[in-house]
Amino acid sequence: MTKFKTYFKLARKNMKSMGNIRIPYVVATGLAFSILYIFIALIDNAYIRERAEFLVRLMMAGAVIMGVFVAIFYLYTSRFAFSQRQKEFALYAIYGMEGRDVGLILAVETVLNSLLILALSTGVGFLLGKVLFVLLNRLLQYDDVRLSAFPFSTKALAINAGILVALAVVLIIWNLFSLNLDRPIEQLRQDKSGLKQRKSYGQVILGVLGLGLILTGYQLARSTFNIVTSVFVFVIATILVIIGTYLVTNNILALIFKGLRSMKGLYYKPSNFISFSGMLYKLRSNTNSLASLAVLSTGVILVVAVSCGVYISLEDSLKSNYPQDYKLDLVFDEDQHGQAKEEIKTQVLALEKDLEASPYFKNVHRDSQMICPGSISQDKELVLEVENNLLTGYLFLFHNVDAYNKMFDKDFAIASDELVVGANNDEILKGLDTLKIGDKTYKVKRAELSIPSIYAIDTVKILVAEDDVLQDIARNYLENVQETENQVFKPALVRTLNFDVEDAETVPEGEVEKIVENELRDSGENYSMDVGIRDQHRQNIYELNGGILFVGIFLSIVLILGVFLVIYYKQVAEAIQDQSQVSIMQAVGLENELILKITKKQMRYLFIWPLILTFSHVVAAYPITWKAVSMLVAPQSKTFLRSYVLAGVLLLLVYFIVYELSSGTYYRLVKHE
Amino acid sequence: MALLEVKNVGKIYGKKGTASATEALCQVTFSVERGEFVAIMGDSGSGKTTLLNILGSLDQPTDGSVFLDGRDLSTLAKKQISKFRREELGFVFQDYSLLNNFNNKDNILLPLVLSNTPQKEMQERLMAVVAPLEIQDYLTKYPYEVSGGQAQRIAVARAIVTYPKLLLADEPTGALDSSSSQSLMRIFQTLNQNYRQTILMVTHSVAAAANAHRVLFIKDGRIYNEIYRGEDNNVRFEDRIAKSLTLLNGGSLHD
Repeated sequence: MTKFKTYFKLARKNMKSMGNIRIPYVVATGLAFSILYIFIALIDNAYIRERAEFLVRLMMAGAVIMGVFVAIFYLYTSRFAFSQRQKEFALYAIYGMEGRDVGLILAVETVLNSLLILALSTGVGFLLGKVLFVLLNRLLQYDDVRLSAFPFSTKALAINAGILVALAVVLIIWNLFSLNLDRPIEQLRQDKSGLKQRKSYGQVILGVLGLGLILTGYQLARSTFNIVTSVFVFVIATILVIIGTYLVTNNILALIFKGLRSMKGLYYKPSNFISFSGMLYKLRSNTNSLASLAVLSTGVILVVAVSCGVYISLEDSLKSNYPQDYKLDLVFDEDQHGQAKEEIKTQVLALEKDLEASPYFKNVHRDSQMICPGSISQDKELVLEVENNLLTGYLFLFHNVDAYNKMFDKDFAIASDELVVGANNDEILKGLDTLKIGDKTYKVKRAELSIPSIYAIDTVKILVAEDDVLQDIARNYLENVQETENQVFKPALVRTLNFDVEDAETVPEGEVEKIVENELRDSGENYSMDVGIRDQHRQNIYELNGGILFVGIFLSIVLILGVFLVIYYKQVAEAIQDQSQVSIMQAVGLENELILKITKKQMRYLFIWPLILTFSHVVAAYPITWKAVSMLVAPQSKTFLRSYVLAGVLLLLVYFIVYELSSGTYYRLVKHE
Repeated sequence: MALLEVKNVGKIYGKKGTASATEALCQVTFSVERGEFVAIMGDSGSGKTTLLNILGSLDQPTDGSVFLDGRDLSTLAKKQISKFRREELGFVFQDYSLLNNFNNKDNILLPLVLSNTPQKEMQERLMAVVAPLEIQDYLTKYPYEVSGGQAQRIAVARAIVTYPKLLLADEPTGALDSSSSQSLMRIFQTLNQNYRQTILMVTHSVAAAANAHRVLFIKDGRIYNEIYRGEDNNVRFEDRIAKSLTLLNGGSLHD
């Protein structure tokens, strides 16, 4: 018992005395775990679950990746601290301690550290999470949120504690096995000698493997998949790219500098001489943090770009679904049976007049659309596939060109044997110059068309010259499918009237319905109607998707914190390792300015690498995120690209600011000796 | 004229005249001739290392001046100091001070690369130092892959590859076992005798000092005594050095 007390005392004293390594270590790991706490608490949060249920699943995958990060970071920093203490262990051995004793001290230290980290991470995570939560809610004007909407999460605490215990066990065993007290004098003299340069052929194999994984991931992200599998594909591609990033960073970089070193003419120049071999030395020890930086930075850009992209696209999306204040959809049974009648057209025209005459409404525009599932066959014929499940087919939206032009302020002009075709997935339309519908073949003009986002599948929009063409198509197809039971999408010819209101407040409830019934009551038609109001719809949309921006901003802040942590800790670690090198360089006659210049150059090389990877990953991820966002809203490619650029600039800013700030710490530590 | 002239050098740490001021060197005057091998001995804290730092232009004296080959070190501009140190002086340290990020060959070439020496000349100079130091086999290894004695020979090679006027050695045998120490001292003698390399070595070791032509004893920041080897062999000179040390430490030769 007294022996244990001694260990405890020693461990506590150690922790106090090793400030320069210990404090950044505890702060960094504590913050890393507080990030994890926030993440888990966010998933656990009722408010988020309510608002963005589908996000929760994505966030769980994110949490697992984050957990792996934090674990790697924890082990890396702990082992780094361990490797800095060889001298101390040698001293213990000289004092006559055995491996078991030192191991016990280390174990006690690890336990104390873990407790400290748990306390710090829970406290900081809870408070920071709460502040962020409230701040963001204010910002996004979700006024109804009270402070308690981000309550203390016992789940997050428990998971963190579990991870810490598991990691502590791993760490204690790892430390015990790598503890070498046989030759204490050697260790006293040269404490960091154990690291050997890795063999080139191994690096080539692993590096090529890593490149292969990354490229496979890129290819996966580019290839066409339909909407349901693309989530799965995205996860697979992400995992491949992450593993590849680590492999490439750990191997290719060193190979590049080995290659540079073998070019004698280039190598034996003062600044290259020192920076190339310095880089190799740095790359030998630990590049995992660089790879982590690349992955985190990619995460920041994607999260910011996608969440902003979605948010900005909401209005566009709304506009494509609701071009005007009101939308009246009419579906006539007669139309659906392939027997579209002239009378129906006349009645709709009359209805248009009625609405125009009403004191409440104005600017009435007529529109007609047809929706049907199907696919395009090899010989460029439109095949209706109503029985097919929608995962392999597409959705076809036929639309009157005049209505479309008015709605979106375009000026498409087409002849009656022409179609303007656009899709939310360009692959579908590859090589399509004509399209056969029934017995008629139309010429195809390709264009980017606004496609409503309400259908979360690949959608083809076709503009037709006039309603008669629509009726033709309806005649050709709808009569063939009327008997089929299709649960998912019923093919339908919809006649729509879009109009604005004079004053939203004064419109009596059911006014539109009343006008329709008055007009159609005596026609003997069987019809159904749907009245949509844009303002109501807007509210729905924001309630559904506003959560994305919230979680997006929240996540990106957490990820940025991660970026900050890794950069800071890497700088500190580099500084501690560089201290002795720098003082030797001074002694053998290197100018201080040159040393500073070279170390600056090295640090820049080191920190540019993750950025290169990041931007490569982001460019590769663009198509698949575009598709993912297209599922939720109808983004304009310009808007979406703009949010990507914005996110990229934001990351660069954060990255360089954090780099500059922490490089101050680096130089202070290096110059210290 | 002597190669190295040290005139009335004093060094005070802390502010002069205050209670915290510590006098590390006081009125140190001596000179080293071309081709001479001089050892400086003294206890820890006697000021040896401060003296060596000043000679190596790593530190500035508060009083007096140091001339190397007639040039006053204090007149060197800040920017010239590194170049001067690199080209005129060679350093050997107790802890070898090799850079782990270079292999041994590149460690040796470091000062030449910094001076923009052409590759062909670098190669020639490297070959010239490799032979007497017997380090051919370790050139492609890294400093952490060789023994202490081998590492120190690499460090010596780095120090002399620039053909320095003066080789400064700070406890070069301090971290070596006795056989490595002996072989290093043999190398110093070879360099001194065959290549007329001027050497100034600070050491604790009587055996190491006995290789020099002359030993300066320093105590409390002052030159206390100096003895010449004369016609003595190593063993006899070692004996005399040991006696001088005993005197220096206030002991008597007869107890």
